[in-house]
Amino acid sequence: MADTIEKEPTEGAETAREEAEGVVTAARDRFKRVSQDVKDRYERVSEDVRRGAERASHEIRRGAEQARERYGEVAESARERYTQVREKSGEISRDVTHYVRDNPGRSVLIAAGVGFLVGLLVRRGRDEDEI
Amino acid sequence: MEDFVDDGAHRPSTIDDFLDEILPEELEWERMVRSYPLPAVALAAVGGFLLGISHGPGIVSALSGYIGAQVSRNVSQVLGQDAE
Repeated sequence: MADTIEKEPTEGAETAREEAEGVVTAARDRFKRVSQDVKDRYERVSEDVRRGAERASHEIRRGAEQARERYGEVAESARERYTQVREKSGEISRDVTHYVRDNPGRSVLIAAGVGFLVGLLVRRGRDEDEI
Repeated sequence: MEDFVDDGAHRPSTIDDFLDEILPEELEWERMVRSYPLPAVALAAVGGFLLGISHGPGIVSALSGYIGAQVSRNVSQVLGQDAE
Protein backbone atom coordinates (compact mmCIF):
# COMPACT_ATOMS: atom_id res chain seq x y z
CA MET A 1 0.00 0.00 0.00
CA ALA A 2 2.75 2.34 1.00
CA ASP A 3 4.63 1.34 -2.11
CA THR A 4 1.63 2.25 -4.27
CA ILE A 5 1.33 5.58 -2.55
CA GLU A 6 5.06 6.31 -3.17
CA LYS A 7 4.82 5.36 -6.88
CA GLU A 8 1.82 7.52 -7.77
CA PRO A 9 3.47 10.90 -7.28
CA THR A 10 6.46 9.79 -9.36
CA GLU A 11 4.24 8.67 -12.25
CA GLY A 12 2.23 11.89 -12.02
CA ALA A 13 5.38 13.92 -12.15
CA GLU A 14 6.64 11.86 -15.07
CA THR A 15 3.38 12.36 -16.92
CA ALA A 16 3.42 16.09 -16.18
CA ARG A 17 7.02 16.32 -17.38
CA GLU A 18 6.17 14.49 -20.57
CA GLU A 19 3.16 16.65 -21.15
CA ALA A 20 5.24 19.74 -20.49
CA GLU A 21 7.87 18.52 -22.89
CA GLY A 22 5.16 17.92 -25.46
CA VAL A 23 3.80 21.40 -25.01
CA VAL A 24 7.29 22.91 -25.20
CA THR A 25 8.06 20.90 -28.33
CA ALA A 26 4.76 21.92 -29.90
CA ALA A 27 5.40 25.54 -28.96
CA ARG A 28 8.91 25.34 -30.40
CA ASP A 29 7.59 23.83 -33.64
CA ARG A 30 4.92 26.45 -33.86
CA PHE A 31 7.44 29.20 -33.21
CA LYS A 32 9.70 27.75 -35.90
CA ARG A 33 6.81 27.63 -38.37
CA VAL A 34 5.73 31.16 -37.56
CA SER A 35 9.27 32.41 -37.75
CA GLN A 36 9.77 30.67 -41.11
CA ASP A 37 6.50 32.11 -42.31
CA VAL A 38 7.54 35.62 -41.26
CA LYS A 39 10.91 35.12 -42.90
CA ASP A 40 9.27 33.98 -46.16
CA ARG A 41 6.89 36.90 -46.14
CA TYR A 42 9.72 39.31 -45.43
CA GLU A 43 11.70 37.90 -48.33
CA ARG A 44 8.68 38.10 -50.63
CA VAL A 45 7.97 41.70 -49.61
CA SER A 46 11.58 42.72 -49.94
CA GLU A 47 11.70 41.07 -53.36
CA ASP A 48 8.55 42.97 -54.38
CA VAL A 49 10.01 46.21 -53.08
CA ARG A 50 13.28 45.59 -54.94
CA ARG A 51 11.41 44.87 -58.17
CA GLY A 52 9.19 47.95 -57.69
CA ALA A 53 12.24 50.12 -57.05
CA GLU A 54 13.95 48.73 -60.13
CA ARG A 55 10.86 49.33 -62.23
CA ALA A 56 10.49 52.89 -60.86
CA SER A 57 14.15 53.58 -61.49
CA HIS A 58 13.83 52.28 -65.05
CA GLU A 59 10.72 54.42 -65.64
CA ILE A 60 12.42 57.49 -64.23
CA ARG A 61 15.48 56.89 -66.42
CA ARG A 62 13.27 56.45 -69.48
CA GLY A 63 11.24 59.58 -68.62
CA ALA A 64 14.39 61.60 -68.14
CA GLU A 65 15.74 60.34 -71.46
CA GLN A 66 12.48 61.26 -73.22
CA ALA A 67 12.41 64.68 -71.54
CA ARG A 68 16.02 65.30 -72.62
CA GLU A 69 15.20 64.33 -76.22
CA ARG A 70 12.05 66.48 -76.18
CA TYR A 71 13.95 69.43 -74.72
CA GLY A 72 16.60 69.06 -77.41
CA GLU A 73 13.96 69.03 -80.15
CA VAL A 74 12.14 72.05 -78.69
CA ALA A 75 15.38 73.97 -78.19
CA GLU A 76 16.46 73.22 -81.75
CA SER A 77 13.07 74.25 -83.12
CA ALA A 78 13.07 77.48 -81.07
CA ARG A 79 16.60 78.25 -82.26
CA GLU A 80 15.59 77.76 -85.90
CA ARG A 81 12.46 79.85 -85.45
CA TYR A 82 14.43 82.62 -83.73
CA THR A 83 16.94 82.64 -86.59
CA GLN A 84 14.12 82.79 -89.15
CA VAL A 85 12.35 85.61 -87.30
CA ARG A 86 15.63 87.52 -86.95
CA GLU A 87 16.40 87.15 -90.64
CA LYS A 88 12.84 88.11 -91.60
CA SER A 89 12.79 91.14 -89.31
CA GLY A 90 16.18 92.21 -90.65
CA GLU A 91 14.85 91.89 -94.17
CA ILE A 92 11.71 93.92 -93.33
CA SER A 93 13.82 96.54 -91.58
CA ARG A 94 16.10 96.84 -94.63
CA ASP A 95 13.09 97.13 -96.98
CA VAL A 96 11.46 99.78 -94.80
CA THR A 97 14.72 101.70 -94.55
CA HIS A 98 15.12 101.70 -98.32
CA TYR A 99 11.52 102.76 -98.84
CA VAL A 100 11.83 105.57 -96.29
CA ARG A 101 15.06 106.82 -97.88
CA ASP A 102 13.48 106.73 -101.31
CA ASN A 103 10.22 108.37 -100.17
CA PRO A 104 10.94 110.39 -97.00
CA GLY A 105 7.93 112.71 -97.12
CA ARG A 106 5.42 110.02 -97.95
CA SER A 107 6.80 107.71 -95.26
CA VAL A 108 6.61 110.39 -92.59
CA LEU A 109 3.07 111.31 -93.59
CA ILE A 110 1.92 107.68 -93.68
CA ALA A 111 3.44 107.02 -90.24
CA ALA A 112 1.91 110.18 -88.82
CA GLY A 113 -1.46 109.31 -90.40
CA VAL A 114 -1.47 105.81 -88.98
CA GLY A 115 -0.48 107.19 -85.58
CA PHE A 116 -3.21 109.83 -85.85
CA LEU A 117 -5.87 107.21 -86.66
CA VAL A 118 -4.75 105.00 -83.78
CA GLY A 119 -4.82 108.00 -81.44
CA LEU A 120 -8.29 108.92 -82.67
CA LEU A 121 -9.54 105.38 -82.07
CA VAL A 122 -7.98 105.26 -78.61
CA ARG A 123 -9.57 108.59 -77.73
CA ARG A 124 -12.95 107.45 -79.06
CA GLY A 125 -12.73 104.23 -77.03
CA ARG A 126 -11.81 106.20 -73.93
CA ASP A 127 -14.73 108.62 -74.46
CA GLU A 128 -17.14 105.68 -74.83
CA ASP A 129 -15.83 104.14 -71.62
CA GLU A 130 -16.47 107.40 -69.78
CA ILE A 131 -20.08 107.47 -71.03
CA MET B 1 24.23 104.82 -87.62
CA GLU B 2 25.50 105.55 -91.10
CA ASP B 3 24.88 109.01 -92.48
CA PHE B 4 22.88 108.97 -95.68
CA VAL B 5 24.53 110.64 -98.65
CA ASP B 6 22.08 112.25 -101.04
CA ASP B 7 22.98 111.23 -104.59
CA GLY B 8 20.81 113.97 -106.04
CA ALA B 9 18.51 111.55 -107.81
CA HIS B 10 15.61 112.40 -105.50
CA ARG B 11 13.02 114.80 -106.88
CA PRO B 12 10.90 116.72 -104.37
CA SER B 13 7.21 115.76 -104.54
CA THR B 14 4.07 117.62 -103.50
CA ILE B 15 4.21 115.89 -100.12
CA ASP B 16 7.79 117.03 -99.61
CA ASP B 17 6.77 120.60 -100.47
CA PHE B 18 3.87 120.33 -98.01
CA LEU B 19 6.19 119.12 -95.26
CA ASP B 20 8.68 121.87 -96.12
CA GLU B 21 5.87 124.35 -95.57
CA ILE B 22 4.53 123.03 -92.27
CA LEU B 23 7.85 122.08 -90.62
CA PRO B 24 10.51 124.61 -89.55
CA GLU B 25 13.24 125.15 -92.10
CA GLU B 26 16.02 124.70 -89.52
CA LEU B 27 14.83 121.15 -88.88
CA GLU B 28 16.11 119.82 -92.22
CA TRP B 29 13.58 117.04 -91.92
CA GLU B 30 14.45 115.36 -95.21
CA ARG B 31 18.11 114.94 -94.28
CA MET B 32 17.14 113.68 -90.83
CA VAL B 33 14.67 111.15 -92.25
CA ARG B 34 17.25 109.87 -94.74
CA SER B 35 19.93 109.62 -92.05
CA TYR B 36 17.74 107.99 -89.40
CA PRO B 37 14.83 106.38 -91.31
CA LEU B 38 13.32 104.10 -88.69
CA PRO B 39 13.55 106.47 -85.70
CA ALA B 40 12.12 109.26 -87.88
CA VAL B 41 9.15 107.11 -88.90
CA ALA B 42 8.61 106.04 -85.29
CA LEU B 43 8.76 109.66 -84.16
CA ALA B 44 6.23 110.66 -86.82
CA ALA B 45 3.91 107.85 -85.73
CA VAL B 46 4.17 108.92 -82.07
CA GLY B 47 3.54 112.54 -83.06
CA GLY B 48 0.50 111.52 -85.08
CA PHE B 49 -0.76 109.41 -82.21
CA LEU B 50 -0.42 112.27 -79.72
CA LEU B 51 -2.10 114.66 -82.15
CA GLY B 52 -4.95 112.19 -82.70
CA ILE B 53 -5.49 111.57 -79.01
CA SER B 54 -5.40 115.26 -78.06
CA HIS B 55 -6.96 117.11 -81.03
CA GLY B 56 -8.24 114.25 -83.21
CA PRO B 57 -11.97 115.09 -83.43
CA GLY B 58 -11.29 118.82 -83.97
CA ILE B 59 -8.87 118.12 -86.81
CA VAL B 60 -11.24 115.61 -88.40
CA SER B 61 -14.17 118.03 -88.28
CA ALA B 62 -12.03 120.87 -89.64
CA LEU B 63 -10.86 118.64 -92.51
CA SER B 64 -14.42 117.53 -93.20
CA GLY B 65 -15.59 121.15 -93.26
CA TYR B 66 -12.74 122.16 -95.60
CA ILE B 67 -13.44 119.27 -97.97
CA GLY B 68 -17.20 119.96 -97.88
CA ALA B 69 -16.60 123.64 -98.67
CA GLN B 70 -14.28 122.76 -101.56
CA VAL B 71 -16.80 120.28 -102.97
CA SER B 72 -19.69 122.71 -102.70
CA ARG B 73 -17.58 125.47 -104.31
CA ASN B 74 -16.69 123.22 -107.21
CA VAL B 75 -20.29 122.10 -107.59
CA SER B 76 -21.46 125.74 -107.57
CA GLN B 77 -18.87 126.61 -110.20
CA VAL B 78 -19.99 123.74 -112.41
CA LEU B 79 -23.67 124.62 -111.98
CA GLY B 80 -22.91 128.32 -112.59
CA GLN B 81 -21.10 127.51 -115.81
CA ASP B 82 -24.03 125.37 -116.91
CA ALA B 83 -26.50 128.15 -116.10
CA GLU B 84 -24.50 130.61 -118.21
